[in-house]
Amino acid sequence: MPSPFRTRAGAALSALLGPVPLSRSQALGASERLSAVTSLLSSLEHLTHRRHRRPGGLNDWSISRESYAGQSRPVRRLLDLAAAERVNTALHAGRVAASAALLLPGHGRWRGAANLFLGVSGALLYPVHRYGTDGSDQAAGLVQTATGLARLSTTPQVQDALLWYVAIQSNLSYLVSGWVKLLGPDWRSGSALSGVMRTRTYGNRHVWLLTRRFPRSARLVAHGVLALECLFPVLYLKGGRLTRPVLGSALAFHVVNGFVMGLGRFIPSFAAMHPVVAYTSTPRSHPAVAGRDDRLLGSLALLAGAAAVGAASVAVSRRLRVTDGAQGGWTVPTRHGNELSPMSTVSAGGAGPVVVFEHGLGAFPAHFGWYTRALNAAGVEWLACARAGYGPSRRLAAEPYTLEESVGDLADLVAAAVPEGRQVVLAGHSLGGEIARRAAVRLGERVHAVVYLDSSHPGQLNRSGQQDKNSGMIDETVGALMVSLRLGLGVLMQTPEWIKNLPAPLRGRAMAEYADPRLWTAARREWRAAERDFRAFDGALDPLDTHALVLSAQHTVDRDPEHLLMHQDLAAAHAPERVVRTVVVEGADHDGILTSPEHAAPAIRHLLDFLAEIGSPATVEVR
Amino acid sequence: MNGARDLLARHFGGPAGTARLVAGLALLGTVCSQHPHEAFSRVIRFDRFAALFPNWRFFAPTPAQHDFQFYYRTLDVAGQTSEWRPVELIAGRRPHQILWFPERRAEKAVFDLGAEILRYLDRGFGTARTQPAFRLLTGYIRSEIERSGPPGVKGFQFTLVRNAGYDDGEEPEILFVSPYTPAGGPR
Repeated sequence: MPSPFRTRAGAALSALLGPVPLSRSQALGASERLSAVTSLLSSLEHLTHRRHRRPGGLNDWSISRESYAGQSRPVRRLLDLAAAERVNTALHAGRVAASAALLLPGHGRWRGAANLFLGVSGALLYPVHRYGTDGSDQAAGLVQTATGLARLSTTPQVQDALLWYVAIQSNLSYLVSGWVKLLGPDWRSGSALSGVMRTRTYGNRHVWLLTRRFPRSARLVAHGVLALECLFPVLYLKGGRLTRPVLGSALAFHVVNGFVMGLGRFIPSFAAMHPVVAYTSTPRSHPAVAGRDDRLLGSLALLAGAAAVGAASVAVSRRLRVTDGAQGGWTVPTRHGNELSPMSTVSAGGAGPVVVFEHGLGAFPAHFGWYTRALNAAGVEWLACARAGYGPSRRLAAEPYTLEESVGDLADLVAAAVPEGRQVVLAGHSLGGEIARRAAVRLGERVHAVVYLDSSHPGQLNRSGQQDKNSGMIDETVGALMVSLRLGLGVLMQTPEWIKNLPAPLRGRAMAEYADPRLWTAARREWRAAERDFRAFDGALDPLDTHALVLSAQHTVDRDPEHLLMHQDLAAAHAPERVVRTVVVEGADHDGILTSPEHAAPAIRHLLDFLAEIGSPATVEVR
Repeated sequence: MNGARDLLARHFGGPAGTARLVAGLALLGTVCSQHPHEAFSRVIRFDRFAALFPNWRFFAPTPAQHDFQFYYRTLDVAGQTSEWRPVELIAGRRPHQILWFPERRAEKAVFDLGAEILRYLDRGFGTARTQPAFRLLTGYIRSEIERSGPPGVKGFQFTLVRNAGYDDGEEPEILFVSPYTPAGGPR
């Protein structure tokens, strides 16, 4: 016979565990009422602080409307209307009325229209109040739109699809927040909680002092939050046995955030999704949810499968394009065993020095698109090649990578691809500038000039505090891109502005290279080697008996004046009797000096003037 | 073949199937919009009204551990420059805020504007100052000076500082200093 203590403990445990068996109608009613509390508070806030959307306000529509200049005229008209003083006030007053009405008892279909009005008007008002909106507004909007449509539908299957939609969004809100936090070192170490609490915007002085006094407990709390978020969907396991503790913990989490962080509106907005989570996590055998249609899960799996196939196809197609050699599969083997795949306009009957381009870290020959076009027009022959591991160039070297490998490859490329007797002008951007400088030392008299395009300097990590500080971030960013692209997420990449700025025929291939993991794998390998190499550099630059042009991007040297001094060092390493020019390209940034037509144009003019000054292609002789 | 057709019809046939298709696409879009790196923003850019694909990456992967604080100084008609004065917007924590905290929106707005300006500062101050976010802040500070600043102001200058909030042990960092701005300039 069980003891009374065990019986009581068992009863208490069963009260804490198990599903929360809400019916469809109960879940719908509870969700829409809690969301109504959020929109009620939200619109009252806007009504009491109207000055922020007038001139001089933080959401002055006469200025912020420019962010929507790309929208169609009807949409812009609609937004202007929503921002107009009277209409805006009327909309918020309507939202207050609809929200208040939804708090009343009842199940009428008018509630669907009220919810839908709140969802749609919330979306319409978002641009007008853009600065200062938060996740609670988004959560309330999606719940109201979904519950509104569910109320208006008479089909239980449609209602269940919409309720499942809200439930999955609720799961995503915790899962995404938790798993993405794990990518951050501050969350993994547990120090993030103290870091957030010290801010006046989201923190709390007393709690911050507590986290300082009890750091181990603070870490435990931070990791507890992570565990709750990352494991939220466990409530669907074992017939919803963990629904009560998980939902209870999540609610407690929002209440604590409300007090400590000033995020009170988040309590009703996220709690509004909990009744639907309760409905969907109750076993279908339970009478409260009899007949529930769970097919959205299967539909979502089918769509995700189709999306995965689409993403994989795009990745494969990009890889095929990227590894396609530019000039009929012409390859140059190097001493390190690598196979380079160059493109070139060098001809047998050509004369004068050949301009050899060396790209930067995480870049490719198309970066020089404006330069090669200009050289074609000027009748100057050029050669550009992806470094080993990038694009069609294969890295087959067995040894761990060092910068010297790329230097050797560049020297071998010049030896193999430039006709004997013709000199070269090595033009390198960023890290490519440093590789070109070292290759110039090795190639000796074969090099007529070196052109540094906002070049790296081997002393930059030791001399520049800013560069030193950014080095960890570069490794982290390049690593994140590499992993994401290996997972096939390249299809989610937006074409960046600088690719849109390249000459039109180059854009497609440039995007394929940018969104291919090979580029970022090579970039990470090179960055790690460059970091080791640069940190060990403490000497002077090797002297070079060649002409030199050092082009600096204004933004680079403005942000870090030490970089200007380093660029002057690059120039000073060249023999004074040679032509040595240093120029700061006004308004250009590090990449824009190549890719922006506006800033590449003056840089190209300097390059052509420099080439003319050091000797026309017809008169240059090998010394 | 028939099996695949039946599977598709079972999930996407009829009005409920259409609802599942739309809901499924919205969920898929939400998942595709959560990448923390800005480069992976192809899907979320479709959602200009922030209604389809919510951002669920709260405080992740790197939480905000600093406050943005604006300061301004004025030049009066007599040619005198004032001390730097803070633009106070952050209310500080009070228990009632759990129920009613409308000032939170202004705090968050300043945070959003500061973060947006920082993104453009990477492209140079010349680019950042033409953006709506920068001009909104200029207009806001101008109106603050008109509302509560000293009389007879000819122009002003403001600066954005990132500090560690209650933590005095960390030096504040000046992110930018605006050029001189006429008090009655364009809004």
